[in-house]
Amino acid sequence: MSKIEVQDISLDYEDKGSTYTALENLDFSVEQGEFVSLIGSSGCGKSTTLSILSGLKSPTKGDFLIDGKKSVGPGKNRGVVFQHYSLFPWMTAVQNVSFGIEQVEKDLTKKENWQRSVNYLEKVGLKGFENKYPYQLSGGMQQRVAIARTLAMQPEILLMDEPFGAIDAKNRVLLQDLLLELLQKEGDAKTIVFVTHDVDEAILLSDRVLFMANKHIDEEIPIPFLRPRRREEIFRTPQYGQLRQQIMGRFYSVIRENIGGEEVVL
Amino acid sequence: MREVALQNQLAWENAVTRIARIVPHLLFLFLLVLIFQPSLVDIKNPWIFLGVVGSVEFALLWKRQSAAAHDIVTFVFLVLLFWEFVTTKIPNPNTMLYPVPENVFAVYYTDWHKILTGIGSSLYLLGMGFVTALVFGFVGGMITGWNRRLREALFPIAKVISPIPPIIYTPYAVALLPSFELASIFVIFSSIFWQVYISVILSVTSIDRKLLDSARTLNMKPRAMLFHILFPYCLPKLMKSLPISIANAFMVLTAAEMIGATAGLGWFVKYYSDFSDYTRVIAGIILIGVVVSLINLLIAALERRIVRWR
Repeated sequence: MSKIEVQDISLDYEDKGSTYTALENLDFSVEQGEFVSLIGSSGCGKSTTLSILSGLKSPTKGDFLIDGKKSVGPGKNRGVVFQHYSLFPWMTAVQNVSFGIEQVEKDLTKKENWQRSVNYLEKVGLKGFENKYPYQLSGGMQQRVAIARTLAMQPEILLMDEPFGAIDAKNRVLLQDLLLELLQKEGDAKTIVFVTHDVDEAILLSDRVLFMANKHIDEEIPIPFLRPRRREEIFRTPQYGQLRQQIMGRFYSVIRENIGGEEVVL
Repeated sequence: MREVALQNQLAWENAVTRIARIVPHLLFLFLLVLIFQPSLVDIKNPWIFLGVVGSVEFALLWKRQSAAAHDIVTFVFLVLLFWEFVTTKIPNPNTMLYPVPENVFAVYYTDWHKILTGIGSSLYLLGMGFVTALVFGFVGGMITGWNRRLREALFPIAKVISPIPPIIYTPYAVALLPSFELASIFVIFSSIFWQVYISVILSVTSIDRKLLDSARTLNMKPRAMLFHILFPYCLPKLMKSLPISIANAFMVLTAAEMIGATAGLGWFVKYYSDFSDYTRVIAGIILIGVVVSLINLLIAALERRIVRWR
């Protein structure tokens, strides 16, 4: 039994009488402890897929199972990190984290909760920033707080929707390394679905890359690198170049299909 | 060449700034001289007026205020100078219609008891109506904004009722309700309630989708959603709109007081208007301006304390 099973899901929107299809016959599964990336160009349905996994949207057709049980709506077993604007501006960094914990673990004392919040902020490298409000933090720091909040809630499944998409290049590298390091400590405890449009990011982080196009999974690409992974080592291997080429090739062919078979100059 | 022009311009701006910092003090001295010159009309007590002018000057000197403060004081002193000059230094055709500043400010001394009870009575009515309207408008607005069915039913109704100026139903409210107090509180309530109610509904419906999604994925219960997400989200906007609400409420209050009250700031002005005692009328008008400004200062201070996340 897989941790997550998406069984032939479709999602249609009704908008002013006309129907718009966001997902069509989506079918995949994720194993316990696996890191899976959904990649594809914008509009392919990867973020919508994540909304279904997080319970924010329900499919019009098909089932979505966690541990073999049908899942409806958001749940304690899943934590979500969004691209941006997910911290509550009226709470300090530590309040944001502790508020998240409070929602899933009611019987923790205030002190225990606070202690855990501070610990997780330290883990993401924000010691000393506990009492800052989000507007006082840079984009990268805000995203660190969001990651700390989600990890502190200790969900079994981590859903990340382009979490580093709005971060500058240098901080993105730092955050990717941080994520690798944090997940390394967790071992097989966390199952992760990660949405991105960054090919390097997908290869570096994932065990498997699902290429999405035209509202369903178009191709599945296993990433064979062993963990713990180090960016410099992986990027130097010839395998990396091949994988990169393979995925980029998919992007180009999708564009070609959509434009109509003519040669595309990129 | 261009550098020289730029330097000239800078020097010129510097000079203007420096002069602007001196002007209010010169005007103050000028005003003092003018006040101590013999007047053509009978002045009962110049000391309150002098005290007010002196405190304005003192505040400016003491706090080393910004350029804007200097400009404002310049404006105030110019107005007072003009007022003092045309009413006391040239023949005043009608001292009843054109009261002398000294006598206007002296009212605060002679009528202090009536003024204090007036402020107390007005603030009581304002506070009661304002606070109830704020609480009901805010809580009601959050619930209505959150619940789609309620919103679609109540929002159109609110949009029909809210534009009716509450002053319109003041006379009827005074006639209908058992006491004048209750009538004023009701009218003040309705002048603020709809405004708050509608703005909170709009604020809830315009809440950032991403923020809401993020809250939903935290498995929040509806109560937590209401108190920890919607409430703080709507609060800053509401605080920003309070000065306008206060101004509206004051307008309604003074209008109501003109109809049926026996005390209060609006009553004070209306009462002495009936006797053509315009000295007291002007004193009352200035007082209302001061009281409203003080309330707004209080709100601004509250806002700074409460909304610390911006």
